Amino acid sequence: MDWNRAHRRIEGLELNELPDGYVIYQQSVDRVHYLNRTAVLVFELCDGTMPAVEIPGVLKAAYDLPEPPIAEVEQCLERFLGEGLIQPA
Amino acid sequence: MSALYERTAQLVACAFQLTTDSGAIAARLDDMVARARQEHPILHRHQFSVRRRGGALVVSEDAAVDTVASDDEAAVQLVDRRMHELAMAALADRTKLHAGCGVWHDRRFLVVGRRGAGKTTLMTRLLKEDVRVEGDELVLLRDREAVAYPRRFGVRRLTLSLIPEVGALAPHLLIGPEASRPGGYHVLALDPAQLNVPWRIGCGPVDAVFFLGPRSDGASTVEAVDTASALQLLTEQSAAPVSGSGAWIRDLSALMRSAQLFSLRVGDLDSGVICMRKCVPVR
Repeated sequence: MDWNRAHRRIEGLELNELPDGYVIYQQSVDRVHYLNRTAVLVFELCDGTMPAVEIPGVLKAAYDLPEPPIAEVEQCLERFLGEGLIQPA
Repeated sequence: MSALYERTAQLVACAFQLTTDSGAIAARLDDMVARARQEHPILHRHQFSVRRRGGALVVSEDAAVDTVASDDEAAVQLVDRRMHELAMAALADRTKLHAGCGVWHDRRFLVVGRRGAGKTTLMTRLLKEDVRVEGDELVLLRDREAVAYPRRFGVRRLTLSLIPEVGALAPHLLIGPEASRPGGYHVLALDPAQLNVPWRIGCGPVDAVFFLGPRSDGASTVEAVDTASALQLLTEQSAAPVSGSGAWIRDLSALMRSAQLFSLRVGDLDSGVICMRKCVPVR
């Protein structure tokens, strides 16, 4: 994964908001994904403009963490890329 | 000239008018048809007639399709099957969920579980409470609305005898052979009216969902269930509408948005009811 690149959502995903996350239906492969609140935030930051390297800093501020969750964000983005939910912008 | 017997029935969006010249067939239909008062608007009307014509027993559907039945029971079974097929076809755009459905002080709740998990036993026990029990097996979902499919409760006679508060309401139902079926037990097609409990089926959003877990050895237990687990359980126990999986996931998501989600392990039924009461507080 290139940390300097922004990512954006794949088109055609159907998002269903819940109080504690998203349920995403991926019609192209007939799959359902559940994203918890933190995953939703990472997913929302994949807006095509924000480089991946900035995302851990946003989460650090959002959840008042002592350190930016770099490894967790990388794992999350890799998972989104692997599942075909996002792609490099 | 023989007498003509008329019966009417409603299965959610479909109203049926049944006529027959056989008192025996009319009586058999009375035993099978769900007599729930339903609030869902009627969108389709169908007519069936079962009459003898020249020695043959003819089942006519909407004065268009005639089928010859071999005997009274075959005719009744055909009418019953066609009524349910037509009713389900009219509801093809709904997500189907294996669940019992009830209303407690204006709060609708569902009891979700696989076949044999104990939905019917629990819903039958609730008939004795101040609960409007609407169904024991199938709920149809569309957006935020849930409606129980009117099907007589499939209660084992043995189960009814194990719920003395309910069995006492209709002791005549407890009489008869238990092991009268190949499966080793007799299933009653129970209409709550047989227990002098009014059977009414409404339509509305769901406030609580109980997922039936493995039986508890002692007292019943209940705990909140996380969304990811609930989603998995709901997809396992439901079927998509004809419009496809997108609508299915929308319906399940709408349900999870409106309802609190619980895992219920039933031990003794009384403590199970107490657990449910705690989760469905009076509005």
